[in-house]
Amino acid sequence: MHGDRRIFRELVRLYQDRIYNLCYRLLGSEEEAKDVSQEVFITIFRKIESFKGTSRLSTWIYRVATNHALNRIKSMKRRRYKQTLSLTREAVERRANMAVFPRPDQLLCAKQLELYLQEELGRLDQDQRTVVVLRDMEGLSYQDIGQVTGLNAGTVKSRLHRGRTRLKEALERWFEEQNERVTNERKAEAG
Amino acid sequence: MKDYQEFIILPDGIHLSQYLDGELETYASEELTRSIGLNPMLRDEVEGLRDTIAVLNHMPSHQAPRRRHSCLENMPRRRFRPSQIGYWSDTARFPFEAAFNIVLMALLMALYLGVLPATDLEIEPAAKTPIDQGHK
Repeated sequence: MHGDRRIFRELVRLYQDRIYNLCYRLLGSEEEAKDVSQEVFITIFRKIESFKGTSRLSTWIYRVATNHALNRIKSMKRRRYKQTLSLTREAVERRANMAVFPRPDQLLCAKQLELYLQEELGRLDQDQRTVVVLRDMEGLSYQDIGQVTGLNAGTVKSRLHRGRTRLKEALERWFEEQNERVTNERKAEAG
Repeated sequence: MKDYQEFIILPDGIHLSQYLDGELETYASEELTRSIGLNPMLRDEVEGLRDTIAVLNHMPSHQAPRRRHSCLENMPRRRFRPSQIGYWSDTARFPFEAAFNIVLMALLMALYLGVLPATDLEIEPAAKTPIDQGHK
């Protein structure tokens, strides 16, 4: 039992950031992500014996985490939890400050972009969001995403592409707005 | 050339995503590369998707909060050691308080067991009263 605890502690050390980040991106709320990631590790601790070794351990852990996060989204919807997926501006700014960017203007740009993209992620269909986060933020392969979500390969590909396309359109809008803003500021300065 | 471009059969988007992820077969990937070279609209679409993926890849990673009594950190039970006086209670965490409690307990025990030296006070016999003398 003592050995189990030591191994579990190592698992926590290895996966806590990845699981927290996954939950945060899916839920869009720091508090919910913290809560759910704790539940995930409790489930892992209790059910590690049910892991059959048919997939990689990391895939199994991601599956547990994704299921917990999706269940939380459902329960939040039931509770009409209005703050779901609407990340607070302060939280985003605090987190963005931790990212390493060389110049202040880049830092400012990154802050705004992260805020914007997190909001757009929240607007995606739940399944599209899950697949996009697993692929483009967590770096899972198509096969692993299929095992985590229980979707077949074709569905994973189509949801991933639809999600990316919607985010691409959102990014294009954002860059257009930024260009417009800069142009207006220059005009105002010149005038 | 322009007429030729108009007749290029555009691949569906799913293939574009697979192409960018390196998940297409070699032949299909080469065909698509060729099509992209010939069709500016398709090139824009692919570049837009590529930029989107790059931005998502570089979104800052959020770290789990580290708390002293976090459930994640402390779920495996820690063994209690006598040196960890005040482990269970936040209020008794200061060593001065613990040391004072120990000294106080030791003094009380010493008094109870009579280890402390007796005082020098001598009890004098009570003076004889007239009643006592009359009886004699």
